[in-house]
Amino acid sequence: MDIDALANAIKTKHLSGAAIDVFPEEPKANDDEFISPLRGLDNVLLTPHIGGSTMEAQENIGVEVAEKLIKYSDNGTTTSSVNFPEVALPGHPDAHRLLHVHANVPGILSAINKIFSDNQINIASQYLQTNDKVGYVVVDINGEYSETALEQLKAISGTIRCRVLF
Amino acid sequence: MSKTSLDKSKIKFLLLEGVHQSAVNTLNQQGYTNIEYLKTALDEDALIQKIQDAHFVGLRSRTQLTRRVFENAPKLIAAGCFCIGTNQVDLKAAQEYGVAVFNAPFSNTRSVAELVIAEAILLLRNIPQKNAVCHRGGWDKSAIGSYEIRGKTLGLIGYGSIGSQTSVLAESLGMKVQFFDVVTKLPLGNATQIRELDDLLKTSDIVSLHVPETLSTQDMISAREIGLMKKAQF
Repeated sequence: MDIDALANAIKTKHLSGAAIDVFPEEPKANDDEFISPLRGLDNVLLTPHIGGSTMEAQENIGVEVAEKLIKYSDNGTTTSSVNFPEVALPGHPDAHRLLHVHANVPGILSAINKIFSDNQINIASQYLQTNDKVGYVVVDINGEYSETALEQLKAISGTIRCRVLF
Repeated sequence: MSKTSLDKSKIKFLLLEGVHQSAVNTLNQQGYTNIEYLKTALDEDALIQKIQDAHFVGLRSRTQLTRRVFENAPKLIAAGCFCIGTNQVDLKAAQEYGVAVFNAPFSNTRSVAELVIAEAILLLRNIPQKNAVCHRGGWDKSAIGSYEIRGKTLGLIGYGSIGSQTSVLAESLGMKVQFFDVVTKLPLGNATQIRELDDLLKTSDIVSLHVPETLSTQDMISAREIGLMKKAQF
């Protein structure tokens, strides 16, 4: 929104009023002065970026974020993460789930798969998602092998994080 | 002996800035009880002390998760921003240290939509102006230029969660709703999608903007677009 153009449209009475909650330049702290060409125009509602600031929203946010963290902890799902490859995972009732986060460079997936084939571990299911920097591989296997696999996966060069879910 | 996964009581959550109790309740219900709950934000050094043994950290907008924090958080696997924005987190550093970052982009949808409707009604009645005049000792009783919202056309630019929620509320007040969105959306209720932004601007009594800040939305509405809007009837 071109705020100067809006201010002009109000002054010339092309528009009867406006309500603005979000601004191109907003004060960083409560004590900083709010500066805008819309100040002083009577039929303009100015609010300090509080459109979503209610106690109900705070409560909803508490539940929404806690649930995302729980899902990632319990199951490895990263849906709607802002910086991570997004993987939506089903449950894994009869398998152990290995979660491997690594730098997105060539050769990691084949290194991972080599560990499973060298140890003759059967893969029940496998998921891979990458973004520009990070790769995220999820592998479900028979539980008795997960400890061996976890140790060897951690040793792969380029590994950032690796954990297992039972 | 059958193996069990890391006991949930050993998975530590560090929650900062007094996030809502609903977060603690939700975690407890799912068996996560190892929660350190602080009402305040922490500066970098204090945060580095506290985050050493945390697997998860929850914060709002005042805590800065810097590269140095991630360097010193060996067990951290995810960060939850209990807010909409994530500018307070060095997302690139988080990525490099394998920390998934989450936020809550939709939880305040209803709050925003309610305020949009409230402000639309106030503006159509020139209430901000009449209020200001009264504060200055004036008494402007005229009905000229004041209108009901019923029957007016609301033009929504952006039909995501906020735009569509506003659409529902507006229709319940008897407004006609039309929207413009860059992708084809299923209209809720009796709303109509308008293919060209210019057409929406020309035919709406009230225009409300609900688009994210991106390069393509920058200066989306400037003098030319405002000029296309209906002229106010005083």
